[in-house]
Amino acid sequence: MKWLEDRTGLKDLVKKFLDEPVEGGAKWSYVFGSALVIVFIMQIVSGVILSTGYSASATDAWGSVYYIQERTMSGWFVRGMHNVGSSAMMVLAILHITQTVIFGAYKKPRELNWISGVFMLFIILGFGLTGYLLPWDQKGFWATQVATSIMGLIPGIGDFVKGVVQGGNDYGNLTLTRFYSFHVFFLPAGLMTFMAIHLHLFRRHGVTPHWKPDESELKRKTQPFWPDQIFKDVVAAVIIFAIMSAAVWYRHGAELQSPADPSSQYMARPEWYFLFLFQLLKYFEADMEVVGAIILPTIAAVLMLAIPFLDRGESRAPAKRLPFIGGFGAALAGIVCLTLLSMVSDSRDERLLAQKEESEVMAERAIELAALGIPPSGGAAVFTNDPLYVGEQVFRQHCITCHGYQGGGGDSAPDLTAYNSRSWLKGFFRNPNAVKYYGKTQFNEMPESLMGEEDLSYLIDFLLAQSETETPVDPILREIGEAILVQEGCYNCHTYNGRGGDFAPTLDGFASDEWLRGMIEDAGQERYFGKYNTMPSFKETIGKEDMDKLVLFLQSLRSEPSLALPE
Amino acid sequence: MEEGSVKKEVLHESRDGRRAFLKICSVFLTSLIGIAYSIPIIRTFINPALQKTVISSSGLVEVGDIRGCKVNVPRKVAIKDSRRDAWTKYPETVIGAVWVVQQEDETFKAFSVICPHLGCGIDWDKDSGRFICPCHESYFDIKGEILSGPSPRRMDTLETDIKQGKLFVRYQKMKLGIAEKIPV
Ligand code: FES
Repeated sequence: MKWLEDRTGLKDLVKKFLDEPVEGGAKWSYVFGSALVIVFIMQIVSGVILSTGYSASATDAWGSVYYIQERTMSGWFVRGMHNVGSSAMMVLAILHITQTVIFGAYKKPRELNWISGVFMLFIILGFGLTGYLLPWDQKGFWATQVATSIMGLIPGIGDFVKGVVQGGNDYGNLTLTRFYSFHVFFLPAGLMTFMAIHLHLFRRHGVTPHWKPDESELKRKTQPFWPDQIFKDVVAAVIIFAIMSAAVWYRHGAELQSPADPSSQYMARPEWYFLFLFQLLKYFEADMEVVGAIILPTIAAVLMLAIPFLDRGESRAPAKRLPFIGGFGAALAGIVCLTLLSMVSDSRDERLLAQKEESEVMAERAIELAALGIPPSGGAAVFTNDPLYVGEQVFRQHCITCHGYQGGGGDSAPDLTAYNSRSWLKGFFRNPNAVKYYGKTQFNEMPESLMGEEDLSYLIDFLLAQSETETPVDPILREIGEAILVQEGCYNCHTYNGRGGDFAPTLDGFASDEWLRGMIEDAGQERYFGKYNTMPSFKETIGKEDMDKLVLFLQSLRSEPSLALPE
Repeated sequence: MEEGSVKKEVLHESRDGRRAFLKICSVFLTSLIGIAYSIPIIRTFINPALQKTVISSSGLVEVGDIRGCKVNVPRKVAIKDSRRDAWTKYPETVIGAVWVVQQEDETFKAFSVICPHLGCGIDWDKDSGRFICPCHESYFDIKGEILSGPSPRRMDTLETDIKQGKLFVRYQKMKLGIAEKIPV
């Protein structure tokens, strides 16, 4: 020990750091500053650990975060702590600043304490902004665009600044590498520098005690920093740590939305501590936008930095500095109001609520599918792991120019929403020439059916039973079905089991995978529409794998209203 | 006066006692946070060591048709498989190669092309009818046995299977530089 001490002077150093008289005694109201230091250290620790698993590239970022979150022991907790930590820093910073303002702690000779502190506040905001993008999920991707677009509004140099920050003309790999670099090198270096300055100045000028007691009373009540104040700081740290852990536990880590999809439409919302700025934007339209986005926030920032030079009176008692306390209170109240306004209007926005629900479903699905491995083309490609999803894409690509689907698509061929479901078939038999079915096609040979409800129901059972090509149709059902075919004159046009006409689609294997595939490949075959056919052949245009998935998708329409995205 | 100083002393002592207590509490509580926080932190950090992060198929991989194979004429065939690298799943790519030899009794043997010495690629030398690793000149016979050279063991045989005229190989990498054949 002595050997080490002789060479390093460690003990002296520690002593120097800890040995400081706190005039007027240790106080609970002083804990916020050191709590900020402690949370920041926790952020460094969790951040460094997260960086061992994170990959800053547009194709890998989401996957790596997914891997940390879902496939790494306690990964969700570490990520959750890092996420909650940013909110904790923000809350503590606000408390610390409020305390400083009330105590008038920025007054001469502590102007630079204040200024370095304000810079740290800006840096913390920068951490929040850059960190939000890193998972490359929907909300991070879209919300951050708002921020970089705002940079583009800066008169004159906007585009240049935007290009520097986002790394080029659009979001991509370089946006992530740069944001990552800002988040883990630039900003921490900045924060540590200002923190060193801040702490040095704090030691130089000491704490700012309560304004009431006079000099001699303060002197009399002086207590040492270690352990009197530190004990209080540590207790505060324990409480903060407990709250953070509980929050992480309760929310099971931090949210990870589905991978960023530049082709989607997503209404982005920033982290809660940016909501007031976000709300402010709403009040300035078109040409005035630059006012809400840049000019007002800049004025506020400058005013904040200038406070020590504006509030120059001798007294630190709040009662004697009413305009400043009032001004600060008003600003804070304004921020709170804007934040609440934004939250309230969001909570009433139907579209936003629907989107929230949808994005939760998508996130869950994405995480499920990611378990199968993420294709090298990137996070958003996880959905291609889902044959149904791919089937729907094929469907949307090839079919909906003519076929209607969920209120969209063309109308020159039958609407395929809930295709071959009982209700679809029922509607079809009742009115095959409605717009929804053959109405706008050139095919009008199918007569309307006047059969009774019960018979129709049996007919549908009978027809759908054909789709199970593996199991033979129940003989009784088959008997009833064939009787209905006779009675309704179906055999005039349709074939079933070697009997009947051949100029309408065969009923053998109706709605089976095979039947659908054949129809899509070439509906002009004898066994489908033959010479009445107007549907193009897809034999050449849709590959085998895609065809399987398309059939799977079409079959899925039968049981469920739709697995597609809600409108 | 005597009394006064005694009182002061007591006061002092009790204050020191309180401070000592605060010190202990501070250190104790700090370590408490430290320990509570390190558990998840350490678990996350060491996780990759406890997990298979890069996974290639451990099952049988089809390497091709066995028709046209000749006895004792080695053929080098690529092993294609999909690979899983942490979160990414790569589509089928070449992950390695094996030497396939039809034995005299018509059965098939598959040897990893990776030299058990230090991992270079083993070649077949047609002229001398030997397998040769060019890096440090290890020689093996057609059965994969060492003829000469620094290799610590024979060429690694891999499990094979034949189904419907197609040869399947269970492709595995083995630890290098040791006498036993142990999968990595
Ligand atoms: S690696 Fe083959 S002989 Fe050294």
